[in-house]
Formats: sequence, C-alpha cells, structure tokens
Amino acid sequence: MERARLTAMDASPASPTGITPGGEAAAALAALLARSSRGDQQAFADLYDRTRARVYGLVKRVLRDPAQAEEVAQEAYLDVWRQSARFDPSRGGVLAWILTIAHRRAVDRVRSAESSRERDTRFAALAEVPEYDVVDEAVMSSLDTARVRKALASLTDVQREALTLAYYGGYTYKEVAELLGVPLGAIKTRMRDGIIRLRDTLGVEE
Amino acid sequence: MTEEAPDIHALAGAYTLDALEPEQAAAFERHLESCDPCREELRSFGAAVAAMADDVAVEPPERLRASVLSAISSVRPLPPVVPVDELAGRRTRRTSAWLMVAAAVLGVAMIGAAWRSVTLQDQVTQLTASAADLNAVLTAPDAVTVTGSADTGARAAVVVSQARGEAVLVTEGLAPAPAGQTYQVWYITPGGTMASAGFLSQGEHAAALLNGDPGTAAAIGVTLEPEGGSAQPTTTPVLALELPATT
Repeated sequence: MERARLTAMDASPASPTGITPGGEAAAALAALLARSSRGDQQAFADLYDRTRARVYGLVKRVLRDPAQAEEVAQEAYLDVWRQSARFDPSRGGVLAWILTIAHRRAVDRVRSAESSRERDTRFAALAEVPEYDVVDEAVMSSLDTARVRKALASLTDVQREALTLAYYGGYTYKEVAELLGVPLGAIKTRMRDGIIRLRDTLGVEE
Repeated sequence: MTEEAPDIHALAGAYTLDALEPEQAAAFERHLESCDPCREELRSFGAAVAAMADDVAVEPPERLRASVLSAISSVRPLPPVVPVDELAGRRTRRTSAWLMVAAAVLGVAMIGAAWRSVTLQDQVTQLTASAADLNAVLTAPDAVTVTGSADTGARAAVVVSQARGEAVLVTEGLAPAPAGQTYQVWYITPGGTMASAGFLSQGEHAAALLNGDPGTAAAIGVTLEPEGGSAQPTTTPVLALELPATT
C-alpha cells in the first residue's frame, strides 16, 4: 500500500494553465485511469481528487439538491471505476469522459424523478447567481473559471442560454426551445454554433 | 422523425449537452458510425463543454471521498473490450443503440407467465451440461425463477440462486442458430453494462449454467453472435428477461 502511494505522488501535478487539462495534466489523468483499470485503488483515489470538484459541482448544479448530488456523484465514480478499462482515448480526453458519465447520470435522475412543479423551481433557480463555494487550492489551480466565463460571455444571448439551460439545467433541446421561444430546428443550430464558438475561444482541441 | 434526417449533423451540439431524447440520441449514435466529421466534431465538443464544469466546480463534502473509495473496493473493474476483428470498434459504438432495443424487449417480455418449475426439472434431463450442477441451482433453497416469452414464441426461464451465486437459463422453442452463429447470453447491470454469461447449447430445449455470478444483474439477454462469441453484443436480442431484484 505504501508503495502504491509513493507511485501516485510521482504523478505530475495538475497543470495550472489548462481548463481542460492539456498536455501533462491530461496525460496524468490518463495514466491514473489506466492504473485504475487494473484495480489500483490508490490511483483511483488520486483520480478522484483531481476531478471531484468538477464532477460534484456539475452534478450539484443540475440536481440542486446536495444530498442527491452526492449520491449521483458516487454512482458516477463507481461507473468510472467499472468502465475504466473501456475508456476510448480516440473519442476524447479522460476528464471529458468522466464528466460525460456524471452529466448523463445527473440528467437521467432529474428527468426521471421530477414533477413539472419542480421543473419550474429549477428554472427559477437557474436565474440566480450561483454560489461559489471554497474550492481546494490544488483543485482551484487547475480551474480557469474567468476564462470560461469570458468565453461564455462571447456567445450570443441565445447561444449562451441554450448551452447553460441544457448543460447546467438538464433540459432537453425541445424544452430549451420552448423556454427560449426559439423554433426547434434553430435551437439545435444555436447549440452547435455555441459549442463551436466556445471551443474556438477556449482553444481546446481534445 | 424522418424530417430530421437531412440535418442530423446539426445534432452533435445537442447530443454533447445530453439534450436529445433517448430515441434521437440512439439515432445520432447510429449516424456516428458512418460519419467521420461528426465523430471528429464530437471529440472537440466534449472538451469544450467539459470546460463549462470549471465554472460550477464545488468542493464536495469530505465523506464523499470515503464512500466512493469504499464502494469501489468491493467492485472489480470490467475487463477491457478485446477487439475480435477490425469491426470491434463499430460494435462497441453500437452498444447503446442495442440497449435501447433491449429495454424495449424487456418492456414487452411477459414476466411471470405460468411455466412451472416442474417443467424445468423435466428439461434438465435433456441437458448436455452437467445435470448435477444445474440441479444444485434449480433446487437451491433460495432459488427464484423468472419466466418470459419472446414474440417468436420462444420461452425462457432463469433460475437464480443468490446464495450460490449462480444462475441457470432454460429455453424452449428457440430456432436453431444459423450456420456459423451461436446464441450468447449476457448479464445486463442496472447501469446497462453487459458481460458475457456464456453460450446456449442447441436444441428445442436448452439449458445452460451461466458463467459468472448474477450478482446485481438486472436482466439477462440472449443474442445471436458469430461462432466463438463476441466481446459485446452485436445484434438485437432474441430474448431478454428481467431478473428478480436482489434483497
């Protein structure tokens, strides 16, 4: 066990620059995931520490309820552990993969469980300014919230609202179209254009 | 939704945001198999959208770490999907579409149809596998039987003994597998993951002691696969049965 811990500490620290960790940080996540797939729990603990604030924060943003968010985040991590050998690097990076698993679970939960009244509440809550809890310094150093916010601000209003309602709010594109009063065909295009702009502004490739 | 066919490429955005309805997501995943530009786009979209998580990052309660680590300590990671040929990649991608079908079949499977376990006992005598092993499951004190039928008329029963960690699948009236193909059985977890549980022998009546512990599997499915089997299902299930919830 002691030996495993030492190995884990040898992994490169999270990059202070990347939003989506590029280069070293992404490679470190990939290495930790590979070791997890062979049953290395210490590597998984390290993987958890490097991703926990994003995963929990995203799930909590969609679900709102901290207790449910904790539950769903745990399910997502268990899924990541189980599927670790089946991660396909040709489809994207490790962080994006983990967040996809977590986001799908959060969205599934919110869509299956909620009544229309809860939905209204959720929509109202979306308009509020989100709280920014104190995030661990080590985790914080790999986040670049100002850059993301700036990139989001560069989108058109409809693009930005379409992205945040869908990603943070867990709404389907049909619901987003209804909420924004935009035709169905147009909302799909807005979402795609918005992500393209976000991607190009952030300069992320993988 | 045929009117969507021309602009299916435009769905990459909504798909990345998990904003499609299940049928559309499945349709888009099928489209992805043959559309390199969409696959490439999706790759870069995933990273862009993931960056949005930075803006909402929140430190989770400390206890989450302990419960996650405790949860994984009792679960073995799934084995990798081993490519059996150059089509393996395509098969993997097809999995989620397959799941949708499995869910549909599960919905119509007649669970609990009258098929007494006495019949099962009779069939055991015709088995090629070790009757003793099968009997041990069938007669286990905690054995639970679930039966169902497919719309082809084939019927099936699964007997699960959680105490023994074993399950037996018995089928009746399943058409012989076409030449070069075989019936493969799958455990399906509540999360939708599929693991091979072995093969069914041929015959009007067939039974098999399934490989592996049914554990928390939510269902079993049977598909036709190329001889030698597949790492993941490649065809629509001919039979699917929901397993009793573990208590």
